[in-house]
Amino acid sequence: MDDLLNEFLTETSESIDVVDVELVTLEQDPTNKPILDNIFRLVHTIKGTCGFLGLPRLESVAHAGENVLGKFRDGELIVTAESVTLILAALDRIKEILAGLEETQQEPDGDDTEIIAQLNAVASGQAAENVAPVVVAVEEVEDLNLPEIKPSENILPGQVSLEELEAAFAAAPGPDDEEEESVSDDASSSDVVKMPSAEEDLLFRIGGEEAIKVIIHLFHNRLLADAGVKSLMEGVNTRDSKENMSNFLSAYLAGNTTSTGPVLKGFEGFVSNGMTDTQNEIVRGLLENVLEEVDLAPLVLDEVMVAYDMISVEILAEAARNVKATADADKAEKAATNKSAAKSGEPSIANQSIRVNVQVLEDLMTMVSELVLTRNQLMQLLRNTDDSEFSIPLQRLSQCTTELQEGVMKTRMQPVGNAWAKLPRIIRDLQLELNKKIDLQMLGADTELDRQVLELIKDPLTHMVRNSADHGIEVPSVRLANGKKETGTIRLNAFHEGGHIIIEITDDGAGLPVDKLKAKALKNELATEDELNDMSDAQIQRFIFHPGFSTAEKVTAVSGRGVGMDVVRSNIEKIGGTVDLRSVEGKGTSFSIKIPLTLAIVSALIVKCKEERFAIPQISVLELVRASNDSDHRIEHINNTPVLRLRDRLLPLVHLDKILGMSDSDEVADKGARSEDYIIITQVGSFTFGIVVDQVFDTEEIVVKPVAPILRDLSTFAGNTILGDGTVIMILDPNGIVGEISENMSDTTDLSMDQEEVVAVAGNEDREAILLFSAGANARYAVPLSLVARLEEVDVKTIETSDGKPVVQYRGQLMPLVKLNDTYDLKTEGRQAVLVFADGDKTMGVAVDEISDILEDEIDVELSSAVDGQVGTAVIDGNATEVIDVAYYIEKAFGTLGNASTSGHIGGKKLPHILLVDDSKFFLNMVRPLLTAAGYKITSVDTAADALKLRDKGKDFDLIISDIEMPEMDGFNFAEKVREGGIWQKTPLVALSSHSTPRDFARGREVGFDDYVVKLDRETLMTTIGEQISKNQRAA
Amino acid sequence: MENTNKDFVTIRLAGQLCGVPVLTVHDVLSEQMITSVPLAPSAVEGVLNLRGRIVTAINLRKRLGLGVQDTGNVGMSIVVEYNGEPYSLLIDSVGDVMSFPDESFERNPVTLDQRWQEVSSGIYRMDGELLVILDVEKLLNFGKGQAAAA
Repeated sequence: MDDLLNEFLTETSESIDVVDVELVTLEQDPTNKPILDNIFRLVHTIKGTCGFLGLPRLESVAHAGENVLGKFRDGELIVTAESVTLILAALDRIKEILAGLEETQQEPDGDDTEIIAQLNAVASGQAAENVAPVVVAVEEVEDLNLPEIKPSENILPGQVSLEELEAAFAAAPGPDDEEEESVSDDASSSDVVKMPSAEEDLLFRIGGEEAIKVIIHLFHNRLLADAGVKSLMEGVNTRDSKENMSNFLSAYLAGNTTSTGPVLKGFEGFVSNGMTDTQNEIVRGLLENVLEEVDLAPLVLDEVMVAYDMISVEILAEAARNVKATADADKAEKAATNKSAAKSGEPSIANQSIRVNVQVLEDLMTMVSELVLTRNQLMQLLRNTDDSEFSIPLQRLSQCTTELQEGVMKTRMQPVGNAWAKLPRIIRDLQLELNKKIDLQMLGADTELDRQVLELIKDPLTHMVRNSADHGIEVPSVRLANGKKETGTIRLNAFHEGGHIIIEITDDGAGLPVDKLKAKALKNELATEDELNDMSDAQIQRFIFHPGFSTAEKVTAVSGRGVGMDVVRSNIEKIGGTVDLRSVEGKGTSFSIKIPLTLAIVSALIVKCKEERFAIPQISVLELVRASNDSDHRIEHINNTPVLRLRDRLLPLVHLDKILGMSDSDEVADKGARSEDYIIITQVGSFTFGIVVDQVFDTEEIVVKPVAPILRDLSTFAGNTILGDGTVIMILDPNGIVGEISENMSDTTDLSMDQEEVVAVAGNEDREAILLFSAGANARYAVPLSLVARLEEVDVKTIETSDGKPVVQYRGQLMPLVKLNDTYDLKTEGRQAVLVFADGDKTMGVAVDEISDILEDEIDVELSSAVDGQVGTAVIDGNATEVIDVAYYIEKAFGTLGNASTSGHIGGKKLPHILLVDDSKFFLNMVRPLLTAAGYKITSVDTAADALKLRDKGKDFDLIISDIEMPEMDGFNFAEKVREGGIWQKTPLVALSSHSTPRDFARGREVGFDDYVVKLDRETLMTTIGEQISKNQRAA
Repeated sequence: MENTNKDFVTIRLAGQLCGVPVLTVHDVLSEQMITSVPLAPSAVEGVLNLRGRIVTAINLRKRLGLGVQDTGNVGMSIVVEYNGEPYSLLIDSVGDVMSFPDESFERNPVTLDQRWQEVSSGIYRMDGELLVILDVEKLLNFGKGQAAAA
């Protein structure tokens, strides 16, 4: 019985899951007949099968539930929230029993009388008022006597005459006998009618139609599994065949039919595929096995076999005829092949999937992974031998392995929607329980990811959605009072992003209360008051990821039992994912989970550092640079901080050996002297940096295996793996390395965390690399590193004077040197540090004393400056620092740059007028002079609302540049408003933002931006402006 | 009478004879190629490949705060499993599998060094020598202990 029970369990829990979801849909749309029919059918099947398997508890609960559903279906009961709740409760009970059944192979003990009574009350409460169904109006009646009611799909039309039908109906118990009454008004839905009097027939003794169905189901499985007779099922839709066969057998065994037509339909495959005598013997054996397996009484078994023998005679005869006919028709059929292929292809879709035990897939995956590793090993051996006869077969093997690997990977991919399937039900229950109104939106449910990953995020996801509903969304009255819509929204959104899947869970609820979190953190001694005061809101909100931290004031049944977000976080991190949150009090919360697509095989770059080899996942490697003293690329140092120039950018560098503590810093300082280094350019988020290693080998496919728990705290490693040559290698995690870097940068161990948080919070992403330097009396100046083209030191002897101004020869050009301010004097001997700025093909240098540091911070100009050449004063790294105005110096070096033709615009005409919208004063101050210098007329405003006021006043511009992150109205909204209408509808619109992911870009386009420029990317900005304006002029 | 003897694999660590329950020992390895793991706790010698499984190598001398090896025979280790993860414990040398009657079992003397106290589940009296029973779980639990202390 084991097989049977297992199959029952799998199928039933699947059906229950479907019913769960469908019921919730039904509740919203009570008139949806197909859904109702489907639910009814599923519940009915469950009930029928339980009866057959001898599971009385399950059967009685399912039966009571089915009664209520039956009333829904017949329109006797109206679908209400209460009744749906009750049915859901019944389903839950069924699930409970199923769980017990799975564990012990037996129905667990328990009392269901209460729930059954409730269900019956609902069913009968309305039933009394019912008018008996009118016989004439009912076209068909199904299954009047036995409690097993056939699902509506179980049909074989045209079997019974109307007279018979009416007779059957008359013989059936009256409609007020609610238990047995089931009327279908669906014309196509049923017809095989058994005579209530046929109680002694064979059918009854087997166990009714449901038993037949189970037998036929098993019979089909055997048929398809047996190589000898599998061909009999070719071209036949298994599901249809099962139905036809069960219907026929039910009717046949009940003594209702003896005609041959149904035989041929019931055993369609046997006939059409021309069953032979040998095959018949096999089929007979299979059937007998099945019958034995379902514990049929020996006597009944014999009888059934006799019946089969009789049927088989007919089948064989027909099959023989058919084979002949087929041969004749072969030619004709060939002509029509295309048509029939299309035809037969259609119904067999359902037949094209099979159920495979997950363990089998897992084992397969493991084996394939090992195969890949072995293949790699072989390939490596091959590489060492010159001309081997193995090379060609090995190439083939390699190719096959790759394809096999891809194939197996595909079998493991599942839509993320599978993990969401239970959520509508959960939300629905929560709504009732918590008296809230919640709209659950699910986007991107078909995004696929690895099954293993899916399993692991299922629970965290459910937990988070539950949390959002319970803690996030407010009750309607509160929402209305806060000026929100009564119905709260929880949105799930899944999408791919660069080898990862992002799942966002957003609610428009209350957000995370910072004050409460603070109090709680204090109470739990997670932080002191001072520490808390120093923390940003985002940092405090992240406390919810600490163990035992729940903000719900009272513990509800739903959530708040203290096993909360910490478990969620650790589960997600276990699979190499990250979870982040953004929350605005009163506005809502958004969680974002980032998880790898698969845990299986990744391609990695093998590098060497000191004597050890390490792997870096290829996905995070942007490019490789070889740096040596005599090549174009060489490592330069600013105050011992290594940097690399790469295509007019300065990239910070880290030495891998230093990060890994494999050498002390003195040694690193010597590095400059070494002749050759390899630099791996890596990007983490929007932060690009280089990792310096000693040597780079090739790439290898590796299977990431998690490290031992003892080593799990090491953020630098993502895992380890076994290479082709059999050695173990550690896999570096660029994310972890970034964490290490930021630690090194500012000695506070917590900064890595802070940084993550700051990056996570929208509107706070203005962190950038800043170059700090000193000059003259004022020790601290700063300039965004991205504006600096190069850093140079020139020998003061090479400084010449031209036109009374200092210049140096630099890269074959004369480069003017500008003093930072009038009080600053150039050095008289030694070397002079120079910041080189480039504008188009011109370069100029600003002479400074010393370059002191590069760090990451936010430039927030607090005091604007009256001094020429300075934007203002900002607090950087805890000290007041003057931020210099690059545009001023460029202008100073080249005279009035405005009328020079460095920019793309056409001289002589009226100056193009640009509107600049940005809430950052610093930025306005930075860009404005630049644009003015390039020959544009600038109007700047610092909010989108002000900008729209200008529009309403009728001001016309040639181009609008807008920031994205702005308070009140952000750039996206602004763009929508602009495009809605008014005089700016056609004006080119350029977005400017520190966000630079393709998604932002796409969103920008969607709302009407013509182009998207990353902040502080001067060159692109200039080009873009030029392009957009000329495009517009052409269009005009 | 039932046989109440227990079997142990005996190992030597800085001269001290120790025993590990024989059923917990999966393998005895001679010298292996070990990949060191930078930044790992000092007792973690590295990771090695044992027939396709990645095994974390723990230097028992470092784990127990004993001096660094002075003799030449480096690299013997026994492989044990803890929480489903394989670990190889680097030791000085491996002896025999020996059987000891329960009567000769003693609790740890209270004066035993704290570090040994933590990882030992008791002592067997042998002729002329004492055998310290090492508790694998306690030996390998140190990652957590350290994390908590940090």
